[in-house]
Amino acid sequence: MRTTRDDSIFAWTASEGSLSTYRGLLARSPREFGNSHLMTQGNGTFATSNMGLRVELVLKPVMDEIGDDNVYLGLLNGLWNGRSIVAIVLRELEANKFARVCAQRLENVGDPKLENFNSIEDYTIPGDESPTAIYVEHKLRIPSLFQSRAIHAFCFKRGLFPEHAIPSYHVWAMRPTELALYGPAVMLIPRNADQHQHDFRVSPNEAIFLACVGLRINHRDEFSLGRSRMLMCGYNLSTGQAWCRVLGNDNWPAIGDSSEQWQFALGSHPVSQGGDIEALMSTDVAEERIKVNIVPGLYQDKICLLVHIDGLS
Amino acid sequence: MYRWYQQSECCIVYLEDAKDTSHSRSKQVTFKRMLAGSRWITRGWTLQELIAPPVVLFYDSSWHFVITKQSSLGTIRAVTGIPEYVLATGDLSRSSVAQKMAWSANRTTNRIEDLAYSLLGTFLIASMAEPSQSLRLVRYLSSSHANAIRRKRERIHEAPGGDHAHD
Repeated sequence: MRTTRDDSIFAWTASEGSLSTYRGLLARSPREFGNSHLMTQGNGTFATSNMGLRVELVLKPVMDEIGDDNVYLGLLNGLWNGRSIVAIVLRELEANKFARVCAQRLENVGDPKLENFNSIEDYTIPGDESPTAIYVEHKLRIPSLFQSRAIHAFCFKRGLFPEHAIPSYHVWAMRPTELALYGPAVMLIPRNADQHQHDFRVSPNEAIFLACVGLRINHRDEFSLGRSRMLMCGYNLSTGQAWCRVLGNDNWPAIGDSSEQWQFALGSHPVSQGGDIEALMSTDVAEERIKVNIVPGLYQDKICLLVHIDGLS
Repeated sequence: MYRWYQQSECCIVYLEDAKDTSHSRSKQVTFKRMLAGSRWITRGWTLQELIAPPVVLFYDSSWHFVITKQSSLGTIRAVTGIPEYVLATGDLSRSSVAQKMAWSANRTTNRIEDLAYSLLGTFLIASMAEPSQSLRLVRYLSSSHANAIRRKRERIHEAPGGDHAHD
């Protein structure tokens, strides 16, 4: 790393990738260079630093299909087959801090010797041509205020403070069922309106995705069996905002009730429009307390909303 | 290790699983089939055996001479993707990191750091003087495998300049 200036070291492709799959700049195995036979040496400037890899690249803002902000092409200095300019796709996490996204491909941004060199203008916004110094951590950390319009899923996890974990819960049901995965509990977020045809289409507004999670108390006591709480999680696909709320004892439908019942109940209820990233609920049962908070984070390389529920088993 | 191969007079490659069953009249066709189907070509360590020595002699499973490297450059390129210039000269100075990694992409080793070391042999010893730099690359290549890191650290500690308490 210190002795080479060859930035073709960044010209690898992952077996899968998307705008919501975040990787660092370095490959995990030589296998990821399997398609890079034609990549020639580049004269780049990069070094390790206490903020991760520091790389100087020409960045071109990209207009992607989702409209997620802060996506850039990072132009490498190595050429494809000695001719075409090659770029990787980068997502800004916070000022000057990036992750590689869409790592399943290298962007071929035109052949400087051919007339189609301008093809890069088709999907980038004209910007500064001089290199920018960016930082990419090898083990990516997502800033707590990070927002994206390309979030992959809600992931339901045990809260970070077990001392609040009385009583303990498990996820026993989720809606919409078509997008729910169990063990560990994950709710996939639909990418666009076409994929929005699920059974829990409670929001009249297409851009808002709502998920309901049934939490059941782990109790040996027969008296408590069957008692459960519902947690509503919302995500605005056009702003990237997320929120959650523990539903009270008002007249909410049961989690298994029909979509029509849910649509009616949520109707103009504030929870279907927005809310807080934290939820706390005390109930009539003294020892029962549900504390939830949502932070952005990575789960299996995918950018997710990690829903921490204290006492979740 | 790379330099050791590079300075050799000749390197004999015994393809233990290669049998001439094709009865093809073309030596190149026969060799291509043998090479592509051999275990030798899938191993990480053997990449430097192929590139570095100026003379490589290939033998089949019954120790019959098959062909030399210099007379089958095109065939070897077709199987491995390594350019003929590199095969002929052993000169890696014009090859990019990505290309060298690509030649190793489908090669397997028993342990991830073996793969790292075989890559090291090919890419670094040839171009790098300081062994400490090489160890840094090993760290990179195996960083996603916690066990490999542990084993590698043990090895680094055993290396000259490390802990000599057990010497």
